[in-house]
Amino acid sequence: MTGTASTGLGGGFFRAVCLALFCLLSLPFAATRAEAHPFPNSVISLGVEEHLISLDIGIPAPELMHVLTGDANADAGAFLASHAQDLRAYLAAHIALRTGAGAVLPVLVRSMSLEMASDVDAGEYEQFRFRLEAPVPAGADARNFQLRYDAVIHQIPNHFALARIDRNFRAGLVGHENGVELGVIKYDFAAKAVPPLNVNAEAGSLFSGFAAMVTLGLVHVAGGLDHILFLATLLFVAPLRNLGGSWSLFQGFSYSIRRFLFISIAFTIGHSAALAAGAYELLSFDATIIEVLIAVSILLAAAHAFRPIVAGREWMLAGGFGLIHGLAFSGSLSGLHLPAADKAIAILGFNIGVESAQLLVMAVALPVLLISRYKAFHLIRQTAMAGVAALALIWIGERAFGWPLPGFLQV
Amino acid sequence: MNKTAGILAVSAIAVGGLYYVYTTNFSGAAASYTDVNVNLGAVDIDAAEAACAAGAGHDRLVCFADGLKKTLSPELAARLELAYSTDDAKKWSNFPPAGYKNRVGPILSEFTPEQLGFIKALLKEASGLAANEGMDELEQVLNADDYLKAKADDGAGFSSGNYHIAFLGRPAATGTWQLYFGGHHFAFANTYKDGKPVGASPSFRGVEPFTTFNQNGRDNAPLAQEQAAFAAMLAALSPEEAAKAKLSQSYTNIIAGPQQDNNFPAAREGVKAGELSAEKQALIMAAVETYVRDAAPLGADAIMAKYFAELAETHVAFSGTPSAAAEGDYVRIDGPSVWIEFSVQPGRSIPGAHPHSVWRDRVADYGGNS
Repeated sequence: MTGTASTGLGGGFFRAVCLALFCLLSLPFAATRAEAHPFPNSVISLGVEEHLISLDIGIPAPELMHVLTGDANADAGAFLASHAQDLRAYLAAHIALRTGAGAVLPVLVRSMSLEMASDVDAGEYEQFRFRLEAPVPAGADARNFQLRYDAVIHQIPNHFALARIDRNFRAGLVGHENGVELGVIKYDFAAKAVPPLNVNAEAGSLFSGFAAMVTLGLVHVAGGLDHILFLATLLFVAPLRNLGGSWSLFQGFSYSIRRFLFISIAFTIGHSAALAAGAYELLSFDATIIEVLIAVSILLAAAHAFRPIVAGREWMLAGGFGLIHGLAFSGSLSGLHLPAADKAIAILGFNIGVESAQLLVMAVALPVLLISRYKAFHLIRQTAMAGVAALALIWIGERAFGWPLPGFLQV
Repeated sequence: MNKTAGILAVSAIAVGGLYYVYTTNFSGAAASYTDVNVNLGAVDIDAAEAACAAGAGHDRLVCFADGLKKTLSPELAARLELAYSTDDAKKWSNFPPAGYKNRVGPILSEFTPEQLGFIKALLKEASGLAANEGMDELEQVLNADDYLKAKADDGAGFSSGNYHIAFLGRPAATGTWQLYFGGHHFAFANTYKDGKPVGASPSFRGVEPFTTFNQNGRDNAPLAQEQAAFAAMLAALSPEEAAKAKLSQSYTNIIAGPQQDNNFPAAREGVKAGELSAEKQALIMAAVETYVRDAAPLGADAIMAKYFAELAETHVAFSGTPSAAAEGDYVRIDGPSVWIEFSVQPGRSIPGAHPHSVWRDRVADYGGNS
């Protein structure tokens, strides 16, 4: 309903920032489109791991309220607050899992909530979101089972549920791309019943899970323009030296490369530590504050590159804000409900992906070394940094105060 | 110099790497919809009608089709006239363009005013001409999209210019072809074989807003007659008959919608027309007529005769209220051949309920081809 995971930045904005930076890249970049859905149906997003089957279910509130109360327009929020037990009982009566051997797996309702969803044909609407889990006993196969589901459909036979597997770590599905479509759970008008859905998920391997995480790490950095901008801004002054309040020109290759690496390694260490902590859910934080801090980090980096502030100690800036940037990504990992061994592999893979992407960004920034020997570099640097600072301010406004992005940035 | 070359090479490779990551992960296709209001009601058809003054019925359809094709670029002509295939015929939908992207054929905004004149004349020749039915209903449903574009645009692709037209097969005196026309809330599949109409369904009609609205210089209420006919049909039932007609389940949408061919219940539900009085049977036929008479008399007369012959076995059913006007109301007419569903749903773009409806024929959908 809410479509695929968004990269957080529209294509137009990305291009505008590229231009502002004299961007080296001219990339085709389109905003992620929500997938087309028919009239609001239910969506069952399945996770299949070694020890756990999870079901993340979205049901349009008007349809469920119609079934439960006879009134599609009944207040779903009030109903959720006052009839939680009835809802649990309803879900238990209409959702069942059977293993290949025929054993019924107990299904636990982990959470129930309401959210807004949107659909191209139905527009905005309220939706129930249910998180259900079925622990799989040792020896049973979590990837081959039967799903018996007829919530809403038993009473509204035109309603249907799209089922797909979104989380199957060993098969390379980590919940951030289009999952494997399993099919449509719908009323069979000939049989006057809702046929069960047989789920046969790919077994996969630890390696394919690892490879998927590397890709996810790569894509996350590439799609996170703010992260790239922070790192690139810091690296901009790597070849330069602080001349007591102003920047020098090129200080030689070995000096530059050493500083390049120092800044990058500091960022990587901060970043990796935060990722691991976030993935094991050791930290909790407000995502909005993190997003604002990232924009602030870009502003600071730009100010520093304009005129030295922390010259010689860029690694502190890089390491400290590396932590913050890592936290922003760690949410990508905390949603994985994996056994410990799989989780370690997942974090390693994600980190390798993130670091590889950063290496690419650093390599892109290398030509700075070549032009920083010319006097004109002062003007280039100052102009570019003024642009970066302006963008950082716009981001801060957008993220902290909800200011709309200016029109010219929404190409 | 060696260092310079090395740095540039590493940098170039990195640019390539990032470019690869972007193109494989972030690229998307652009839509070709341009959201133009073509105001079909104002399109002048005099030149087209003069060009095809002679002939009638199917011959005249072919004349309009040929007249249109003559004026098209080869590229546009190739997209307009496709080989006959039920696969393409099934690519219709009630969704706006952003919700369903598989429709075939060019869209109306791609044609010049002269070409639109031929298209309108062709659609008119293929349609019934009663007020608020057939051609008039088509224009009003398209006007509703222009209204939504003006009042509630959200990028879904509302606009009369975004409706598709295609010839599936070559319009000619021999062979099979289908006049494919459709877009948001509208679709029909008029099929002809050897110069004779062999089916005018599936035929979808919906509209938002449901209440009368002014757009493109006129008042529009394209499905008011349908709603009134269903309401009259249900209101005439005695309490016992209504109880029989009331479905035990609820319907919030039609079930034999797009890409749901043959999605019919095995057994007909509701009250049997054969058990009702002649007056009540006439009200059923009147409701059926609001769909069948959207097609030109050439085909519609025979279809109405068939449905009348099968009336005794035809069932009427509903869920929700019998007003056929409130959210959640649903009406079904289910016979040996005829299948009509009318479902009143929540507003999508503007407040207020809006209907979706479909006319199907269990035998003659897509001209009996499958």
